[in-house]
Amino acid sequence: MTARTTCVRLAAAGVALGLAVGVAACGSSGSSSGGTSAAAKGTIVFGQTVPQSGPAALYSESTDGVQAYFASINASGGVDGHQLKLVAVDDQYEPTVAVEQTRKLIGQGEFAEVAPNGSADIAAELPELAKAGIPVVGPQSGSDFLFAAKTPSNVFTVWPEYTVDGQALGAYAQKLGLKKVGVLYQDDAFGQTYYKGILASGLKPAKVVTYDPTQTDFAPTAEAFKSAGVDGVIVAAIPAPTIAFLNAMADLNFYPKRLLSQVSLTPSSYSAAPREVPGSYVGAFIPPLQTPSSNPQVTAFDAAMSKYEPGKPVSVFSAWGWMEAQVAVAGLKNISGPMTRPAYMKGLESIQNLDTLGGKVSYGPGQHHGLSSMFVVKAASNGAFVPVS
Amino acid sequence: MHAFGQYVIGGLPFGGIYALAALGLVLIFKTTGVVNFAFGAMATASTLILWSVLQHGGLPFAVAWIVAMAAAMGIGALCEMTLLRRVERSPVLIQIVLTLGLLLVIEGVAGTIWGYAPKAVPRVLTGSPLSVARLLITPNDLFIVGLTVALGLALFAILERTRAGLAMRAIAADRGVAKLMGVRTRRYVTAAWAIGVAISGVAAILVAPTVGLDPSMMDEIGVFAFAAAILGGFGSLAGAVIGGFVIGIGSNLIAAYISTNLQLTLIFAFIIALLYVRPQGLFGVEAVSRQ
Repeated sequence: MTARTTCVRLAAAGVALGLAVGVAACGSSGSSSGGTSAAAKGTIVFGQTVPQSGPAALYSESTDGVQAYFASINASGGVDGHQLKLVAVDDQYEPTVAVEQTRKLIGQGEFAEVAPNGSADIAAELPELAKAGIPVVGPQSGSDFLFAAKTPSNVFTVWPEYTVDGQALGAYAQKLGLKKVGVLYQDDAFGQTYYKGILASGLKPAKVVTYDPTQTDFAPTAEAFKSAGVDGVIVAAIPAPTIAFLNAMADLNFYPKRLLSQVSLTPSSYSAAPREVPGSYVGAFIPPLQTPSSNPQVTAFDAAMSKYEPGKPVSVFSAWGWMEAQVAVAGLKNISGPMTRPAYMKGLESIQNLDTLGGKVSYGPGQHHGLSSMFVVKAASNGAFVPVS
Repeated sequence: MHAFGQYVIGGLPFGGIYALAALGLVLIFKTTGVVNFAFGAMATASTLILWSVLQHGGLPFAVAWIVAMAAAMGIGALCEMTLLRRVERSPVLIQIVLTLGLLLVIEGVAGTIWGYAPKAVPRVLTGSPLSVARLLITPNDLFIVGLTVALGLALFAILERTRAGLAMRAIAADRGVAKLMGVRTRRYVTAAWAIGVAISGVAAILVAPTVGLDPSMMDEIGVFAFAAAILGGFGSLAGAVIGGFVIGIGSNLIAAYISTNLQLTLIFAFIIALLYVRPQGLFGVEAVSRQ
């Protein structure tokens, strides 16, 4: 091999490696321009850990909602002259990765966290965030550890507890007059909290099955429910397993009443599970997002997404991010004086009846829980969701 | 008893998918000695191309399938010619690490291009489930099982009954001697990669309608496919097919009667026990090393 050939091959390898790194960098931190200091003058930096890869990567659409809201605020001058910036990092839906990424965000000087995703991930991150005194606004989880007496005081939930979602669907299953109800839930903090809510509604499930988030084959699960003779199934599952389970039921010609958690469906679920999604009932705190809408919050959200995040899906996930950003910014606006973290937490505590996309949010000293109610919608055959409760 | 029968029948479609994925894996290993850990990601990438052709090109499913197969073969051939060929004389560990790296790169690139929202892919055959002795199976599931068996037989026939197959077996036995005997080794190795990835691509296209298509769709399926290949005796095509169906039905029964959380645990426990008794797997050939 000549020296020239070696040089050419090294150069080619370098270009290939550079391309791969470039693509990976674009994919893993699509909302970030790099780890800039949170203390940069005139900029308030919020961090977000969210799965941008792996089985729950769909939830990274919430980043788009936060970005859209921040952009709309920045366009009108920011908050007290400060521009808002979001640094979103990939935690791969893995708690150990979430902790590592959180440490990096803290090290980079983030002012606060907004919309971190994943019950198990958030549970792992909270001790680090509490130790650093970082306010956490709108963790995307309704697990009971966020609502317990020992929840760190730097946490401000926006979502209702999963027990509320489970309770809503359990109650609605009884309202539908179902005789034998099965429950499928994810075997982690999310699913377990959800199941507690179902039981709290007074429902006594006839069959209960748990699953792992990476599971793809749900044929035995569907058969188990069918063999148990259930006439309704409550599903506390993330989108991909929900689709697989619904398709598995359809393959057995099994169409019980389906009641799905508010995290179970995506816009593509209709076409991915066309036999079972239409006619399903879904727990919700975000109103139907179809436009034109009579809900001014929905209209504003849709307009901002079109303007600031064109081409990004207007989904319930981006709506989560938008709503959480609304709360995060409201807390900033309540600060009088220097923008410090303790001042920010006081600003959040003084939020009263804030109108958000998901309803009114209020906090107070020692009361850091946002929404506390949910409703049920029905998936119509044309892709729309119609409130039924 | 009826439920037991339904669990067995219910295990056949995924068993077929594991078998197809394992066939692609075994073909490449059998010919080149390389374990392609990236086979699932490559297969998913070709299915995402199929989805794009259907969504944006508006072409018939059959045409999209052909495009996807061509893409899968292209991906396999390109990876072999540009990357694997560079390390063909390197230690096995280097080759393994390379294919693991490919898995991560391909999944990451696919996620960047197509995103992670599960996408809908149509089934090959639609229609209500068919009832045989009160056991239900859909036309699409029957197609999966039939195609798996047909592809397995076709591959076996090619390897055992054709000059190309003879060449591939010669390369697998001793590449240097095969080259000296006039076999165009590079051409057949590239062909093995192309065909192997295409067969795994068939598995991905068939499973996507059930689980929803996203870049990490084949992650768990890949683990079961490996299990099938190991159970069957890594290097045996018949073993890959039978291993796939055994794993498919077995995992169904474990999920039904024990726990869904213990599927992989018990399957690999079974494989370990089998390998203890029969190290070459069900149909593998015991290796003899002369020093």
